[in-house]
Amino acid sequence: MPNENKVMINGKPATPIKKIRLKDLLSEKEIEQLVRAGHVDNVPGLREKLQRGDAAKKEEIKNG
Amino acid sequence: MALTEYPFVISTDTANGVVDLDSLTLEIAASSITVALDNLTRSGDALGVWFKAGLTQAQQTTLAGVIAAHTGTPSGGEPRDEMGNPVVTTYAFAYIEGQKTRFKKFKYDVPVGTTGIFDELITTQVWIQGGTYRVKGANADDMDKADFAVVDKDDVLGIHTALGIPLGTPIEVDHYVVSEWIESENPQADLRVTTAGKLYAGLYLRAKYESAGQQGDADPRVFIRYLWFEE
Repeated sequence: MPNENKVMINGKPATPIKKIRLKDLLSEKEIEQLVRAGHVDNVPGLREKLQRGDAAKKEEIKNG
Repeated sequence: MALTEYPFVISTDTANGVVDLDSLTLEIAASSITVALDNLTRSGDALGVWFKAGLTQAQQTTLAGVIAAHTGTPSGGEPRDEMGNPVVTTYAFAYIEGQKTRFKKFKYDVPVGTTGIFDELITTQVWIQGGTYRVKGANADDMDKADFAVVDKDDVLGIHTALGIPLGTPIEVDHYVVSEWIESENPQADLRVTTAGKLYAGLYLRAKYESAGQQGDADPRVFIRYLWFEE
């Protein structure tokens, strides 16, 4: 099986980082709106929703 | 309003004794009849034209005229050659009017037994439709697998700022090829969808290749060709 500890990013050894996925943060519809709009601030209420998100989850994301 | 059927006989009421329901629908829509068409039915030689409500006498006359003029020729919309045959492409990538088709190929070497992640920065807004991959020769292993995604590392979408995530941290926007196991007998594929997805400049196309080979095996060399359109 692949050795997940040996990760190369663009040819350079790298420490695996926790995957942050938009789908863990937003609903499918919100992702679609965001991708269409191009920026969080172009979708009314989206920045606020992200910032209101669960504090523990945000901390987990920040810490990777 | 009650659905109302107006029956016709295909062999005698139409111009050529044949009917094409799609083109007839368009012809009725283009006529002066203002009552909404519900659907068309065909059973043997019988044609049923169903409206959402009854037609006036004048509208019924118009309908009979439309049916009488109907030739049964498909309306198409698709391109046809000078002989009237549909022009189809069996393999060529689609062309979207007003955009330039671009093929962009990359070559990556993945040290055997490691996971290689390769990010390619999109420098202009593109519409991506898919692409192909191929692993060179006998370097692929049946336990190898590939993933393709789009990531934002530079706060293009504003998520980093909104959540206080350090710049450079990849946030997966879309993971459009998940665990593509590589078949060592035929380590290549054409993965293409019918519509193109918008990618903003500054996002990255991420390819991930997990090599399962053992030390001493050859390093997989992976060729990836993306297809996208530029405005």
